Amino acid sequence: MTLTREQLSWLIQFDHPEKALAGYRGELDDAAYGALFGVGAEVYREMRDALAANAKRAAQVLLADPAFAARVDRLPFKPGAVVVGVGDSMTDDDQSWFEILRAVFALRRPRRGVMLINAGFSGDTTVDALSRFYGVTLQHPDWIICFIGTNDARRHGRFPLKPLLSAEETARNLAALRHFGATQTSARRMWITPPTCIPEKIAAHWHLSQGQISWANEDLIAIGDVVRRQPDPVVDLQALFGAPARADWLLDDGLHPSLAGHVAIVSALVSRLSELPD
Amino acid sequence: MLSYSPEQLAYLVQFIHPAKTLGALPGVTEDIIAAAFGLDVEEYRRIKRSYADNARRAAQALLQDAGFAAQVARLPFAPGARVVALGDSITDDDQSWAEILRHLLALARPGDDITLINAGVSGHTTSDVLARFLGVVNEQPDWIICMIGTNDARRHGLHPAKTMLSPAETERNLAALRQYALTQTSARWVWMTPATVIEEKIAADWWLGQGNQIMFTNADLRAVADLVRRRPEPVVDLQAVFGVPANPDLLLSDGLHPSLAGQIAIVTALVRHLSP
Repeated sequence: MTLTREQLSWLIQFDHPEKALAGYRGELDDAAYGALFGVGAEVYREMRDALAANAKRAAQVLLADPAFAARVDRLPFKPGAVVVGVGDSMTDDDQSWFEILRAVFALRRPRRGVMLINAGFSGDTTVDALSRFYGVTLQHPDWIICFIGTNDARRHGRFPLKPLLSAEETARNLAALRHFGATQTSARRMWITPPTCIPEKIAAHWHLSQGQISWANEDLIAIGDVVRRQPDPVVDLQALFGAPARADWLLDDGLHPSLAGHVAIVSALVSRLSELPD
Repeated sequence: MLSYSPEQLAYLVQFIHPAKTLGALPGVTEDIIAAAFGLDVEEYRRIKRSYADNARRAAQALLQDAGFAAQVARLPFAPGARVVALGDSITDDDQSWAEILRHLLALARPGDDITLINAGVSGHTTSDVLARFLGVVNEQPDWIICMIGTNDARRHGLHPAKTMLSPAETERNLAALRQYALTQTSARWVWMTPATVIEEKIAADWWLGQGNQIMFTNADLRAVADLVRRRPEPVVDLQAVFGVPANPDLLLSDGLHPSLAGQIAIVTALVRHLSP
């Protein structure tokens, strides 16, 4: 398999084997992780650092707006709060909304001691999030921001009979996640709907099309409806992104938010959170 | 760094195969996998070899029975056939029914050049198998033997509200898997139901119940098995073989995974079904 530098960077952005291999005792270094991708430690570290630098620059640009900075100051996270971002590749992404939020806190509220734990895992459905949720409870979270459901709507094969999970099953899983959170943590919860996508770009993407993977906005909107019905605060990205999605807010894969898309997600999330009581 | 006993590490190595889950990455090597387990590569290979030896010896012992050997000889796999064993940890297991079947075919029918592909991935539900079915298609299988559904019945947490997948979703997934194979392969299909378990042993297990708040019930597994039994394709009913609760001799001490004796019971039931 020969990958271009862009393809390699796309994989490294979203595929984090250190999460898949956590818990089996061994500790791998950048050389080993780079080797998994077929590159040296330097190239691997350089690519990840470049993505992290993007998240930091995005935070600086956001904070240059005094209104945004004032909303950050009103966020209901107490000193020392543990905030867990549960999600899929849109959270796992090295320059995701969650990483931007981390950079925003580091820049604006460095002494508040808010701990942000990125529990996004590329490819995860709501079932996967449920099966991983015990790990979230072990973090003793004060806030769980749950941005999940895009992969429930994923379809596989040339003639897919169904999405990976039917919308009814997604609804049961979100209820189960709420129940798990309510019985085994004292965290407050916030939901983010899946955004919309550009199906034609997904169909043309080197990796997604090769995997015979497709998404339809109808499927994503059905999941969005389920999320919007949760009895917790919800950020509705589907209203924000439009259907089909704004092209400049997605990467060329037609699926993942671009840096501009993640900036839009952080803005919407901070607005919604800053309206909530402490 | 987490610390595990040698037995616990051997259990993880038996069932967790990062080469399959990280397979999309170009540079997965034995050295990195061994390092992920905190083992040097020689120790890792020694553990893997001991399970492979178990599977080979089990096949040799089974073939001592002339009646069984005749059934293996009659298995309806044509020379050159490609047989995919599709499933979860019960198939992924380094000494699983699929590995024993591989040795049975190699020992009893060496000239037939039958390829056995172990497409079990630990932890997988029917949705996970649907998500990676293109990999099965790409193997150009002549046969698909599918033992799936145990993880659909998995429950997580101290007060689980539901199984990983509701029976209605499992039923839709079984139909979707079959449809995928019908439209993109010319393979013949055989199902095997989930087996049964010993609930108390799972709850007490260091990894499953104690380490990960995972539970299974025989009632949930039976609901999945009922859906498999209702499929129109051939079905091997492992619940009848294992009993309810399961015969402890057929399971490891975790109460969930078949022991070597349990894996032998599975492959025996499969061979008898395919070569009546």
